[in-house]
Amino acid sequence: MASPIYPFVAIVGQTALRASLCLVAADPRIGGLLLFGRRGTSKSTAVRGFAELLPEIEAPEGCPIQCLPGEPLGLCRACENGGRPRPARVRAPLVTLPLGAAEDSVTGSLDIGRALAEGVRAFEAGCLGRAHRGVLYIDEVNLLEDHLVDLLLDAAASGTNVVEREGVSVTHPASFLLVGSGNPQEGEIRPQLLDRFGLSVRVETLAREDDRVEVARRRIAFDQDPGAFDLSWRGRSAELRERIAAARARIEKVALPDSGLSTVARVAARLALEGHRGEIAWARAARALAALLGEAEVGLPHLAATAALALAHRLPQDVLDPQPALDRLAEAVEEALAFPGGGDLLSRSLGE
Amino acid sequence: MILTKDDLLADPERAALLALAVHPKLAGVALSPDRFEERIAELSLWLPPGEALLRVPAAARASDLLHAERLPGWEKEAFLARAAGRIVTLAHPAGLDPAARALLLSSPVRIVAPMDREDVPRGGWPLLSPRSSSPADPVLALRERLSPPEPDPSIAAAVHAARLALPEVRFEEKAWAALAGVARRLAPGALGDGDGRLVSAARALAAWAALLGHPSVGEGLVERLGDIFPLRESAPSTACPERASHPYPPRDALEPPEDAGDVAKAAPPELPAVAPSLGKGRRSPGETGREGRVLYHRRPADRRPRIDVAATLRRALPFQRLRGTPAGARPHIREEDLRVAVRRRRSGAVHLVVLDASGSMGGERVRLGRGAALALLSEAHLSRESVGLIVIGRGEARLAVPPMRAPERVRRAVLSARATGGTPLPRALAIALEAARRAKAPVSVLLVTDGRANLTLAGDRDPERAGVEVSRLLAGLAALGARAVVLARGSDGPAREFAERNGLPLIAVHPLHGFTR
Repeated sequence: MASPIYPFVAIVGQTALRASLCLVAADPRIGGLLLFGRRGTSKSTAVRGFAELLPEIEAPEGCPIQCLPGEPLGLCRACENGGRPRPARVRAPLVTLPLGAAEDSVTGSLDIGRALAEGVRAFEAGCLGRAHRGVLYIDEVNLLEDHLVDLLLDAAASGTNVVEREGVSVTHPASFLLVGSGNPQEGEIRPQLLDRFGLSVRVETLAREDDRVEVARRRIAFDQDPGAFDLSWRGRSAELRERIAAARARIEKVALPDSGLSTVARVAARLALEGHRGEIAWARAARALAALLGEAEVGLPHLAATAALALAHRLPQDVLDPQPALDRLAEAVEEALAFPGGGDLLSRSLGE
Repeated sequence: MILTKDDLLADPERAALLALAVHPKLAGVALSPDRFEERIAELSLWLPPGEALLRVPAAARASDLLHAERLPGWEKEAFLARAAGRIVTLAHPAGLDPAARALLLSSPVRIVAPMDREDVPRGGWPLLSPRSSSPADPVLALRERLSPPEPDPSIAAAVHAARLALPEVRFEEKAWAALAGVARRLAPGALGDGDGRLVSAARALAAWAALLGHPSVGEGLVERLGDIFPLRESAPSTACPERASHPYPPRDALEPPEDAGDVAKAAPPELPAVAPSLGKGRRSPGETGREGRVLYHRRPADRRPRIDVAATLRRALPFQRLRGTPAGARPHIREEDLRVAVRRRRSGAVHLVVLDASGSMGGERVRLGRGAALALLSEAHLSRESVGLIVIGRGEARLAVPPMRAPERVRRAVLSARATGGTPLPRALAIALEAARRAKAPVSVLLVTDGRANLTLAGDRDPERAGVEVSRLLAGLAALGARAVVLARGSDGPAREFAERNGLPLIAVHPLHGFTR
């Protein structure tokens, strides 16, 4: 399955999509990213390529769930007998949860292979475990079976995965960045799940004909020689990877002034948002944007650029036409910030 | 062996299939259903022995495609694992579960499926749709079908050579310049539905260049796309074509299942006993499929059970010493150990409310419809049934709320409906039909409409054709066992006429006295 992966930085256009992935990578606590859009708008391509840009983490060698070094859970062969596996630098994992997955493969289950061969009751980690400290990606998240959504919500809310089944009884940490994509025309997302996503992006079809041709041109070049194509983008990839790692390192140092927070609260009140997740996600996203841009303090432009990302999926909408709700959002933001839109901050955060 | 351009262009469907055989990254080809079986028989002759065509199991669910079955001495590889990198045939694209479809489309397989050509793009299928190649002369077509041409073994050699040449094929700069312009002239959906259109076209062009023995794709070859794919009928409009597209495959939806017409005639839907309750949800009995929560395990009742491995082992392992299994050896599993999981999925009846808020309905009718929909909603909520809402308005039909048990959302959606625009009732019914097909419980459809449909599936203003489409779609719903009912004021002539014409029961509503029959 080692099919080559299209480089993230070679994606044409789709600034909001790419920037929002960088924002949640810079601060995973923003809490998940939802990508809406029709098939073929490079949602999946972006997420797969994005895995290459995730910062490295330290985890015990061979640990299936990348647990924190120094806190052995005794879940895997590496540390089940009280051993102290050496820590290793690994790339944060990107785990894809396939539609129609069996419950066992999501939560983890009895390791049948070892039960048969060695007669031991060992735990085999599922998607939730393997995605710990990384990204859990669900393509077509709106088509996910209800009972899997329940499992996912439990884990996302608590940060732990509890497995009680076929002779294994295990609780392990499972805190992951949830990235979902889907086409809203094919099925709606349950409101509880929607609420879990910190940011959302409506991925639009590229409008310019030139861009579309550029997409085809790059894709064909990649088809024909993935290695050479990847090489020609490697410099840009490394640059972006460093930018994300640097942002993550300094994110706590970026100041969030009271004036900014009161703007956030004012807009949220004016839009009659339910709950406070939207405000929190907005403030965090603005801070992540400032961090990506290397700035010391969150300013109004950062808030303006991230408002739609954090709030659009939380607005009460007219079913026949979602546009008025978005317009109301833009109005509220513009009025509160006395600042029209975020300009090109998103593309600048990508180093473009 | 190299093909000539004439060979290639003579038969568009064949040309598309040849490209598919050559280029591993094409998503697939949609063929006219007319000669589907012959086409794939021919295609299979071009493929090397290790790449035989695989059939996607009919009515497969996502889990059927994804999971392997493994027990000591019995292994079955998952369909998608077997199919990776291969070409698969999908004989019934409309019957495929949406999750299975999404899974299939995101897997590294190439799909060949029969689909009827329609002027509307087929939602959600990124497949190349070449022109249908049947000769225009019916006698000639018949003759051709009676004696299909002998398969030409040299084509297999050409495909093989083209695969080797493919990585070397380059694109001339002029070809890129021409590509967007030519693609714009093609019919919507010809290159599949989605933004990958130009990528698909470029891949097919590279494959054809390789088949023709050309070192590069030139402008001339790009221009020939119009010979292989159908052209737009009118001048390309500036409107975004996606706007007009429809979330479900409309033509497939329009096609009622076999003998649907007879079913509709023979058994008109039952009258509901009490309006507006349209039939209670049944608890789905436990089933041994792969989806849903596990209730308990039991011994399999049928011949080809879906064994639950863990439960079977749990049953067998304590007996190993009795059965004399040496330590560390594979356990002995006997037939009486086999266990299947009995699962339960969410169920409960599904009510689909089609709320016509088009111009012809006028303010009063829409208010009435809103009230009726809200009454149904609170009733359904009490009995834990789900309600979906399809709203017609502004000349469009949308699945405003898919069937769910979230009364607040449906309520908000209902209240926001206002009367405007034309009446694409056929499109609304196509959405209802698709939703009914996906529902895993009894379905009822409540039509709050005057029945004056005037927009066809294709979006044309043609009341007559729209009426025919409505009848066919209603027959399709009836064939699925869904019950449809019209809800209108008793004095509403057009609605009454519409119900009578289609053999549907009418629930008369009086604004002061509530529901009557």
